[in-house]
Amino acid sequence: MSVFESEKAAAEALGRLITELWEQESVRAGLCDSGLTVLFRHTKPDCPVFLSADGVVTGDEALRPASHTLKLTSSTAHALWLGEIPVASALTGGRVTIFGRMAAVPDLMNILGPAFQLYPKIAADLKIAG
Amino acid sequence: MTTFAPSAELNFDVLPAEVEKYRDTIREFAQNVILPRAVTNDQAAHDEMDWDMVQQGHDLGLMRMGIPTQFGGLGLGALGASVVMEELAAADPGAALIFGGSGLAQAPILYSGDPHLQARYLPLFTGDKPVLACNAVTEELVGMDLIVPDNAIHARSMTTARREGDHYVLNGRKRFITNAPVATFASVPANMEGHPGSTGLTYFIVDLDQPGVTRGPVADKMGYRTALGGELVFDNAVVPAENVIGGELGGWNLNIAQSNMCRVTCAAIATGIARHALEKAITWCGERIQGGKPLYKHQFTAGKLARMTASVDAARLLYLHAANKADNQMPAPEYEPAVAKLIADRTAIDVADAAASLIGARGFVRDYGMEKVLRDAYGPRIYEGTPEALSILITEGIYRTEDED
Repeated sequence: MSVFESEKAAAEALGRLITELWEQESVRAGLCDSGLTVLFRHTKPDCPVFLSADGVVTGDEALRPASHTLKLTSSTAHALWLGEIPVASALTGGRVTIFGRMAAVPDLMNILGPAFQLYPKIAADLKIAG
Repeated sequence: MTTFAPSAELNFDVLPAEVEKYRDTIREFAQNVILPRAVTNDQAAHDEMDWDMVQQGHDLGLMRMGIPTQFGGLGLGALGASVVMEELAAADPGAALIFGGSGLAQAPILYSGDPHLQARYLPLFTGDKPVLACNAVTEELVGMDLIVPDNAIHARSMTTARREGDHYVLNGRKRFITNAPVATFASVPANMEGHPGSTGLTYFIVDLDQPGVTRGPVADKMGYRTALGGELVFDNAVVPAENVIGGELGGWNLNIAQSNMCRVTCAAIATGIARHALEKAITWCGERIQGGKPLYKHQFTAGKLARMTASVDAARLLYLHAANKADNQMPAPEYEPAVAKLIADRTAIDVADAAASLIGARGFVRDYGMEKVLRDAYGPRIYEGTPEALSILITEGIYRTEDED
């Protein structure tokens, strides 16, 4: 059973996370310098979010080519950004699949790092139970 | 599988410049250093190691191919490592296994993402002297039971681990482990006590020159004799808790992830063996005159050479395709590497068999090296998944639905 009851609920949390992430100067600079773009392809419920140096796109419009696609369920994203599951085990266990040039993944994870600080506050604010 | 990530540009005729440059360097090393001594190394005592060759390979970076540049490695991905493995195997697959086996031990550490383990163990491979390592998975009663997840509950007599305070205690015996007689450390999956079969699989880094660890006799192998294989016995071996890779009970995920990745390089090794056999056959059939014309002008021989060439090309394309997928997906896919290995393993045997047939008596005499290729050709289908195990993985991939991903 998903942490999120609906696509709207997932978008409120995960879309807000990626938007707050983009609002960070270091994240925009990292994306700009590296040229990386990310499609977070959340499923169950569906909640695609596209992130680039230019901004954040949610909904069906987000389904566009990206340098890297992270495929994961919305519940896994919730647990991942709360720090409840280690990134390495999420990857080796296939709960998160990354498509894109693997050599750029360390840089990408560095850019996305602030999400671990941002999301617990968002989850608490939205009163999302794990 | 649908993905919105742009697929990487596929051009199997043009490798990335840095990969091509390194491939050429290793090709020169393989043809000028490894190949001339391949028959000698093969016929040496089964426990002899050509340390001079290992040192030269180490100097060229073969021990640190897959290690990220921040740890002093070359940062080659699956594609780079694979084309290098084909070059080494086309001279002597035993040499490929020495370097590849060390890379295999590094893989769980790389996959774990554990900065402390990475900082402690990866720099070992960047010093002046070669350090070898091994990935010690196989046991007397456990092989495929560590490859096919559904088999986990049925695994018998696994090496065990139990936690005691700030360390773990390992007991058991690993068999048929490449580099075991000469490795400094091993990546060791063991089953946590209290968990049935291999369901409690946990990976450990174990220093091999410590109390409680014994190296068994060196295996007297049919092929790949340049690489030494053997046993590791753990008798109350104490391993610090910080040497757990990927967390307690995280062994299956690691094992599967690294197996999928390394099957690409295994397919490349098999392709290299087939290529070596093909090259020998081409040379012979071009020089040997029978019935007033070279052998390749005879239709029956031409048919064999054509099929051999097509098979080697197909095996290479499949492993390049799998390597490209592995370099653009994490965790590495299961299907493509398994398909590449299944085909390449068979290709090595078939092409070596056909080459030996074409070369005739010289293919049967040890000094010519062809019979060595024939023996080596039977190796790839054993390690990292037999055809039987690969067939299960491939078939499950065929029937797996998107929803299960």
